[in-house]
Amino acid sequence: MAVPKVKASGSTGGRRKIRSRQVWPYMFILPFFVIYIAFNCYPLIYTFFISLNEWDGFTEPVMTGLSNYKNIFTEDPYFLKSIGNTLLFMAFDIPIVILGGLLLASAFNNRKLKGANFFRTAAFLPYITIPVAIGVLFSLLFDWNSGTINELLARAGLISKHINFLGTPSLARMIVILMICWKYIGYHMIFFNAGISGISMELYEAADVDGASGFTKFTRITIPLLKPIIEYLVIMNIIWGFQLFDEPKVLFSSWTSSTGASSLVGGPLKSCMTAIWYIYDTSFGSQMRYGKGAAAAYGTFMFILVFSLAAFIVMKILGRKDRDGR
Amino acid sequence: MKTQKVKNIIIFVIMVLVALICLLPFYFMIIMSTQYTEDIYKGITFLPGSYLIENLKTVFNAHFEMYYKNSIIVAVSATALSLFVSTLCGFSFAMYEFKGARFLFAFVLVTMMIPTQLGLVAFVVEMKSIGWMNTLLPLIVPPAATGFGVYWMKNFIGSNFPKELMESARIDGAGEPRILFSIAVPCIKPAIASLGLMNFVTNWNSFLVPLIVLNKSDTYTVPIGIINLNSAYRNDLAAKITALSIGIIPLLILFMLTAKTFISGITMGAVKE
Repeated sequence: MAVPKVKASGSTGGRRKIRSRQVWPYMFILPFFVIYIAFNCYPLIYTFFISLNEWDGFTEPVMTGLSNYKNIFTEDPYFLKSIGNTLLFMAFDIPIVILGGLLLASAFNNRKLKGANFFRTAAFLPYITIPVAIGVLFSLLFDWNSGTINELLARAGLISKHINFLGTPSLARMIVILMICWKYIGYHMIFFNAGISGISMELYEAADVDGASGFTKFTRITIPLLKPIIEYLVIMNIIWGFQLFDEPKVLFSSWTSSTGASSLVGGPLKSCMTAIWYIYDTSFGSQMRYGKGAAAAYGTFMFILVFSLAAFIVMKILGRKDRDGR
Repeated sequence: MKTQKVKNIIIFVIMVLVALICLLPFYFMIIMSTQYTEDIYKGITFLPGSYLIENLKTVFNAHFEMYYKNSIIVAVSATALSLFVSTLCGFSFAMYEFKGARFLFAFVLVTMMIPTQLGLVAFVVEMKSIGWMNTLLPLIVPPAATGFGVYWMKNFIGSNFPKELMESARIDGAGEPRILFSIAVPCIKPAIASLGLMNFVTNWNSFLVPLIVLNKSDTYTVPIGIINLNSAYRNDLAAKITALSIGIIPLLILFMLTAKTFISGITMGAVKE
């Protein structure tokens, strides 16, 4: 595999041509690698060195060894809390969007259904909306005083007093989960839709002949055949899950407040602080501790590695079981 | 036969409900942008008010169009650059076998797993030292190298552009860059369109990096403009919501016009198997 194929066809062209044919592949990949190394690899490595220092970005950095790591893991309770929050959000979001998307997609697979196209576009809109706007929209909907949801519940007589959705830790977390599900469910549906339309109708017809129920068809045909897509989406969700920042940050930015009150970092009692939010807040927000923020980035990185690896292994094992079972 | 009909009706009802849930927040937003702030605080209404023009005036007095201009510059140039980089790199991995190709492609895949935000602290230090703070460059150049774009282009080119076409072009004496730009690119136009749309949306929506690197209001992009509306209009909630609507509606329209390309593009990579 390692031997370039171009060498074999060398007899047809001149020596110079072969040379250029060996050089061009590298020329073509060069821009990607130059940009990636300059603006991603280099900062990633440099971040590690910053994490070993106490630095505010302006004065001279002071080498402090691993004390920033000690700080985030043993002294500052909010780093681990932010990781915990991030994982909690994922634990709810991922099953909901995947199962929900799958169910919606199989329900609407009927091609004769009127308006299905319009519906798909509508369900997809939240995904492409500016995340900042999603945060604002949800803060408008769930506002304590003037929120639409509070108004609706009050008018329907379900509540006597407005609920402080965004000021109560457990409710605030629920809103964040709701917001993420609202954003991603249409996206997942579209994926599964494309997958299901690729499954041959004959399989379902054969199952009908055997008298299989809708549920059996779903678990025995649809899910196994969509497994590559499910795996892809689980991995993507883990990647996105750790990157969660925009929507919760804006949700608690007190955008709707008429008094211009300062925003609530991390939500009530930091119950909605995500990993990236913690990094941002430590380095550029309420503190200017570059070193600590950098250490938090590496701490987060460690968790990402562990969880991606775990997900990968679990899916491999499930995959093997499946093959043996057949 | 009858049960089938009942089933269809149930499915239709669910469909309408889900569509409503997805669309209602947008509807409320548009309705609020046509109202007077005091009326919004009084409680919800489902019908548009008559205050839209006033709200629009307030918004444009605060130069919201400047954020728009910046966002368009960022999204268009970042998308163009990213398409160029991804096409070149994807083409190379799909069409050539060269030393180190496997390793380098594995590297590209690994980059997809590492969130760029992790290097944020050093990235900002880097931007400061090369003088890119308060410019749009950090939003244009670094996002051009995405592992996803390369992976996606490699997959598409590999399965849609026949290698034989390359051989015959070579026999005709075409050089490698010419093969890429005048033979391969026309063949992969749909892929370029889809990836371009996806990139456009990502770059338009970008928030974390601009939040840190843009500190002057004349460099704000739309998302940063939106969250800073608070300081611009303070008490005028209706004006803020109007600005929010203006900030997102064009993108929604763009999406509706191109929904097919967009959706097929997003699913193309994963559904292939």
